[in-house]
Amino acid sequence: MKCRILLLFFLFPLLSYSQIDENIFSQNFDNGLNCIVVENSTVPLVTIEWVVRDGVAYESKEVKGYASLLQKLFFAGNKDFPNAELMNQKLKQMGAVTGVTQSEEHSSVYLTCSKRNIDNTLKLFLSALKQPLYQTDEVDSALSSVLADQSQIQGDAFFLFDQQLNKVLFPNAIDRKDAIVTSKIAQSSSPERLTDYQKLFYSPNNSCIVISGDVNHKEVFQKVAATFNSLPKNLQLPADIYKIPDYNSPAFSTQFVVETPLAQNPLLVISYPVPDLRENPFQAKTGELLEALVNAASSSLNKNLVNAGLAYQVSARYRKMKFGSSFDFIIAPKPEKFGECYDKARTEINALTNFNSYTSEQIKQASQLLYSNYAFNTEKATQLSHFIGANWAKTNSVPSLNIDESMDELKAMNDIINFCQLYIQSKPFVAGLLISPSQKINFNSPAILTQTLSLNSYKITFTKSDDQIFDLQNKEMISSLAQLLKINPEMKIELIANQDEIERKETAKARFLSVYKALETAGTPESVLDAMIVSLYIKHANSDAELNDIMSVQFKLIAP
Amino acid sequence: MRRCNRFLILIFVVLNFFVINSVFAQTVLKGIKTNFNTLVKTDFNFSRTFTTVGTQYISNYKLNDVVTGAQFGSVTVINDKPSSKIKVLLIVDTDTSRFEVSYTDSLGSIFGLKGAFKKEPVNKYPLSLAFLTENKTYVKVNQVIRKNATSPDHFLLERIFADDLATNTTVLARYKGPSPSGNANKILSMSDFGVANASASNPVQMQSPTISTVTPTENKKPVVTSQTTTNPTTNTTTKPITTAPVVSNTTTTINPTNITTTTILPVTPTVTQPTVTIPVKIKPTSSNVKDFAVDSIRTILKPVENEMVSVQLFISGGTSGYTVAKEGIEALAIDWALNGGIKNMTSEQVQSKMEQLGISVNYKLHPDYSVISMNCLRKQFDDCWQLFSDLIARPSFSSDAFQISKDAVTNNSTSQNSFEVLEDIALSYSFAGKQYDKDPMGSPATIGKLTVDEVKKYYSSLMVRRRLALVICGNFSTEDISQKVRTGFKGVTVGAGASTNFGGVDFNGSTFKFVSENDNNQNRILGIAAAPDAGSSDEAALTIALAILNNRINSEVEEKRSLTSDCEFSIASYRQNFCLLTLTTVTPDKTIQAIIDEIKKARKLGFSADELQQAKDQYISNYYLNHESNESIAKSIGMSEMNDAWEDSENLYATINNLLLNDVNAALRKYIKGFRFYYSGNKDEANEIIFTQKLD
Repeated sequence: MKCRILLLFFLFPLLSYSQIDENIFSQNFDNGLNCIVVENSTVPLVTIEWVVRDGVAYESKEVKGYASLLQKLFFAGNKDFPNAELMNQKLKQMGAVTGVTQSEEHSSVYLTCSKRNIDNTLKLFLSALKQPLYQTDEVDSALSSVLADQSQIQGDAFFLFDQQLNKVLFPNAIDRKDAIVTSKIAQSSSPERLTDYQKLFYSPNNSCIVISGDVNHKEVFQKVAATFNSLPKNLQLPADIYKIPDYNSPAFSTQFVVETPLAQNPLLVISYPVPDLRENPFQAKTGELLEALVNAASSSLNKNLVNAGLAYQVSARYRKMKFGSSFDFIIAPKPEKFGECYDKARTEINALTNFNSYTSEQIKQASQLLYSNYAFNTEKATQLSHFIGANWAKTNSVPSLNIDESMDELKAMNDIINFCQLYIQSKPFVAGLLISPSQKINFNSPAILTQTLSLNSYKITFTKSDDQIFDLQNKEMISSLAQLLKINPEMKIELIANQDEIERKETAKARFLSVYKALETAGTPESVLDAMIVSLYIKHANSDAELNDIMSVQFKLIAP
Repeated sequence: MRRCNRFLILIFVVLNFFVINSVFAQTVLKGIKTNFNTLVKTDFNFSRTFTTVGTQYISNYKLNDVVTGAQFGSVTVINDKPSSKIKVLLIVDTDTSRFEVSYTDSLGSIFGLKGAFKKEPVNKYPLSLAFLTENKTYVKVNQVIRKNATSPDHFLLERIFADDLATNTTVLARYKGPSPSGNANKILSMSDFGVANASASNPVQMQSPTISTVTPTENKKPVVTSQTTTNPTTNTTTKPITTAPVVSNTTTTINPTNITTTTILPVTPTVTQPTVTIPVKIKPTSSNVKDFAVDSIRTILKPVENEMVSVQLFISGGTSGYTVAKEGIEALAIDWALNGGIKNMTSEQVQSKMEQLGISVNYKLHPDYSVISMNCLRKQFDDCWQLFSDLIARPSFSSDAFQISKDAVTNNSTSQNSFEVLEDIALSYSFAGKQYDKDPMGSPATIGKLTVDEVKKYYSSLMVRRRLALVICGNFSTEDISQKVRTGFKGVTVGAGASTNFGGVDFNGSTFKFVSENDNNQNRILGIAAAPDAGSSDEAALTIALAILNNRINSEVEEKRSLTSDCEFSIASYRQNFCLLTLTTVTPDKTIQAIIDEIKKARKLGFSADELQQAKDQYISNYYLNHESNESIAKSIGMSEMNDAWEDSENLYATINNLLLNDVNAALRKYIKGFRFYYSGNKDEANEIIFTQKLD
């Protein structure tokens, strides 16, 4: 046994490691475990963080919430420390401070302690990873804790809004973006299932260990090799079992409204799907720069919306994900100028492809801002550890943290314009409005505050012989459709009005005209109206007398 | 008989006062360190004066070029009676990188050390300069200056060490014969070197339990002796703490590599009378902190290798600068300076510039000091520093901003939580007439009465070099910072140091005071207990003792008996130190009895080795997790310096790790002997007898 350990000590250092930055080193071990070491001797501490690629992005419906649950159970009982109390006692003895980080695509468990306790901590992690017991009382307690956390985040209006935005933005991957965990999780969380899940997700080839603090990378690599070598590699990765769905976005722009009393101030979000990190990790830098440019007080959006008195605030949010990314413009509109603000925002967003939207000074400042944000966010060794862990999970690699200070501003500008042309200018978007019921009355354009539907869901109904739109439901349909056409001015549609066998053709025509006029009045762009095709269909008698009395006008997309 | 005893004690105390005061005065261990830049145009033909106290033995220095022998500058010591101070004037006429120092005494004879210095691959300028005390002349500087291509070369005048004073006294005595007399021979104090918090006037340290006193004899100014070793690589000086009275026989080792030509004259042993020994101010440390003064501004640089910079300007004095009626004046003065604009920029423009740079300049008040802080990026430091120093050194105090600041300060003074209010009351009772009986935040009544003129006047007396200690944590060299400080604080006067008013509390028994009724069921209790001096080894021991006690209270009183849920017992970290116990409870008698039982048990039986190790590890993890950023490191260094010495902060890890169980047990027994309890809650539920019981 001793010989084996000795052998390990001699063998592992021979494996090469790579230096990512002045003080950051990375090594991959045979069992697939990636180890990243951050040397930072500012304080005599060490933080050990076990990062796993899991989260809702990898979870099917039946295991939704397992990632959170396993995090809570990480320092629960295992074979070496049979219950959580013993484990806690050990942690207390070591003066350890523990915590977790989590996103849709990763989770991590970390422990910070005095540097002299690094060996004990590694052993503790091994115990927790190797043979967790998942005893009923501890699972129950972790479940209540997960559900309590859930009820807390569900009280956050913006969280609810984001859930809705994800649903609309990625309609084929709704489950993989829905972070809402329900009490159903309790029914599925048997110790066996949890163990299976843990073996799959916490396997060394789906994990990364980040060790930061007052350490030496060579010593750490030796210790990690010796401690975790016994963890077996898993033959299948989570993505092999829980297939990655299609993250395609809708072909047309849509909009939705989240109305909740939890909303503090009205917010308009215009969101554009952009490539994922798995597809184009290099484009992320351009996205980040654009985000910083829009966020600057001197940005054209700020000038033309905030300074022009249409909005209180404008900002950008680049949701840089491995699966399902978006570039969002977040606007706090002035209710009395909402319609104007919404139109102007879209115009300004489309104008982001113009060279004169940016000055080289702005690009320089934005790049500086990115640099300062990075410096502020990674100043502490523990923060840097979390940052590296999350990046590893999203990009499959350890990114170089060196910020390029000698930025070529012209090239950066070209990249941004190219990015906007490819993914933003006149591209389908999802617009969402977060609003509380009481705020609604202050809006000057209530018609815009409407949810759009898929084109075939629109149906304007008339009773036989009637050709006027009086019905409230019809009016709402018209304003929603007009809004859909307004945000999709390129859309070509066919308007299908039907006619009863015995009705006069003029009546059907009159129905068409009244829908057309209503759409025109509701602000449908002329280009759409001009390109509209009208078809009249004879509706044959039906056995249901009531249905016979209902005539309708429907809509259909003309294939481009 | 009893009266006689009292009389003797009184005499003893009075004598001790003089002895200790003198000793502290002689342990002037940190002196001025001034940068003179010979390669910057603005520094040619410059003259700098720094006033100190001493004799006029040395009247003149000549700074000569090694090769040509031409004089390029001079250092003149001017007798500045009647203030009994010596003015030192240094003049550098031309650029040079080669020089030697020679100096003459008032009789015109050249004596002492000669140093010829040549430009090495790395510039070394081990310059010697004297500072004078009675009987003592200090002649020593060993400062290696790294050559930096981007910034001009410097040479620095290093700080003074007491042992060197002694050595050079003998050098001087050889030429001058008997000691001179006269008012000019007053002993130096740290504040004479522009260093805040002169220890000579610090009664807290005088009360230090580590001081052993003896009856003074005819020599009323005993010498603290120690050995000093100058480390050739780091130029840090380590000094062991002397604890026993010894006859002065100082040994100074000057590394020969740093002084090219050295003539050390035979040392005549100086026999002194029995000496009072005290912990010295400079403590051994392996820290990379650079401690120097720039034109009398104490500057402490913690070099780090990240991209962030934290600047913390500590202003000593705290509540000693004003009366109770003027509470809040310091807060208002600082707020107004920071928000009242600067020359050529309105407050709005300053604000906009700050937003552009992504910084803010904040301030915080403490009864011992105030601190103004800024965090920024290293690469933007020049712009940020310009703004920061302009706000502090050259505020325009726009009249429009006065009322805005007044409102802001008033608002801050009223937004304290219940425990902060109770603590203010408790301190005002416990330290009545002393340093901590005032609330630095003031109250609407006191702030409201403050006028523009008196606030401006107060600011000009507050923002003086002798009260400033600048702590910078960032990727800089001393040369970088010296230049910045010199230009940034140009125009700030030397001024006078702050005098503090400590003492006045007896913690041997417990007392109880009802403060106020509470509206709800919660009764708030605050207890003040004794604590060792900041920076003493006892302080670390008691810190850990209280950490273990907190663990026990948490387990026994909070978890098992649910009597309270927020009990905290810790050292308050004030310059005149004390411990604070705070808790809320619905059952005050039961809870206090349970806590006192734990204290009694710990005092009687002590703690276990396991408990000690656990508490050490917990303390280290929690402390350092909160000290990962440059800002928290700089704050910690500055606070340690304000309370005692920055080395305390840098040595914390080793100090805590080296603690022995006996130290920890002894510290609890020595200091936690009684509480001054203050109670805010239902009067009927608190039984004074339970609160005031003995802890033995």
